[in-house]
Amino acid sequence: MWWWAGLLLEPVILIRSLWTRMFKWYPIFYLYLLCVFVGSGVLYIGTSHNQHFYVQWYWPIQLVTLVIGYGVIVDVLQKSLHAYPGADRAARNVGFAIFLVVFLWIAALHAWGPHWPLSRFVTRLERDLRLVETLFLATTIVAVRYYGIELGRNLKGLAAGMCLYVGISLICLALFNFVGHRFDFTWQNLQSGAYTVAMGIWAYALWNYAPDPTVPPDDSAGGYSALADQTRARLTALGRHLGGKEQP
Amino acid sequence: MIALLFYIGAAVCLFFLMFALARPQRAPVEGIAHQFVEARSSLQTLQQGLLPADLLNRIFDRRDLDYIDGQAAPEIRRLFLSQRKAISLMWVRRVRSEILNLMHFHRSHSRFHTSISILTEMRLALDFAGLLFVCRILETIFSLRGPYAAPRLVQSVASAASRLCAASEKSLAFLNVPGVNAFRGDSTPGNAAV
Repeated sequence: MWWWAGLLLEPVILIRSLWTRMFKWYPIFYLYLLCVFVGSGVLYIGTSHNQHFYVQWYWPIQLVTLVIGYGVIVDVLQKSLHAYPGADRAARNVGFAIFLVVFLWIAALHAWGPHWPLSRFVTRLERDLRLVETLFLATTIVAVRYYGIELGRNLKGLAAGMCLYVGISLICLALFNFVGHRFDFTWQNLQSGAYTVAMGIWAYALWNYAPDPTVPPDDSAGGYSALADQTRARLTALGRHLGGKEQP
Repeated sequence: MIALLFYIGAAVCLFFLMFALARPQRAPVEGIAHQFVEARSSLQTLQQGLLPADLLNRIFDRRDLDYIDGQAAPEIRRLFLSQRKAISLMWVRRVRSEILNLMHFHRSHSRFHTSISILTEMRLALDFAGLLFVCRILETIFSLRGPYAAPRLVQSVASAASRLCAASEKSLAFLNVPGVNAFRGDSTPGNAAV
């Protein structure tokens, strides 16, 4: 039931994006949704004709949607912070550093680790790629919160839907790898349910274009180093003030 | 099992962040100039109203307690201590709020600078966290052991308050436009006053 609800919501969001021209603002997200919709349809039709179709094509389709999913997260990061070059640079550097480290670590584990059967290998790889997505999303949100950046309804909804789906997927895949096939039905329902709820969030958030709140102008004098020096000087004064020795 | 907990922990952290994202932000949307003016006004309030050394000496001077001990009944002593405790807690909370203001002020500026240094940002974030932690410790000391439990710390605060204000004053000095005072109140009748 969840799966069908998600499949029905996808064309609603896609048609609405054509109606309101929202696809111009968030092209990668709509491409992602289109890929998921087409992929799900192809898998459903293919499996109804050939039982092995799902096993053969699930992973290639999932890989494509995962890669575009990364694109959506990078797009959210870029659009959230585009008016704040400093915050953008910090989040991008930290995010890509985490991405690189975790990705290389996972690649090394898969290259030199034990050789799993294909189905086990695929679920482990998917779980690890979801972990990288999780960390990248987390970095983006931490940057947005830390620098006090207010997002509009569209971006908030996009990020929230992604968080929900990626988080639940990560939990399901981790539990699946730990417990095995005993709770297949539960994991599938949970994942489909999360995706449908995420769809609901996206449908609500992207119903109309909602620009981000006004960006305050940067009318401060001096560069970053001057600002950092000033802050450090004040922090040092505060540090002495609170925990240091008594000053003459 | 550890790996499972790690993956689930990462997902749970993401959910917490998702809820944090939904909460409204504290940073104002006005221009930076507005924040400079607010910081300046806050500094003046501190210098002139809240943190002069003689006021702090009045609050934390132990001689007041000694006087009460020698002259008044135990109920009066209890009342005195509870009131002093309330005042000292108010004071440390005010210092904490100033550190928070400074933190918000820095973040709202640094987000615009392309030459931002990740290491500096991380170090500053840790320093802010450390100072806020020290404030919490002071608050706990005052709550548990009363206003006279950390006299040296209070004395150092009293002497360092002026340094803090001086440091802040430097970065906000450009707001003191000397020419403006010359015009204040000097307008001819019927003209606009500055």
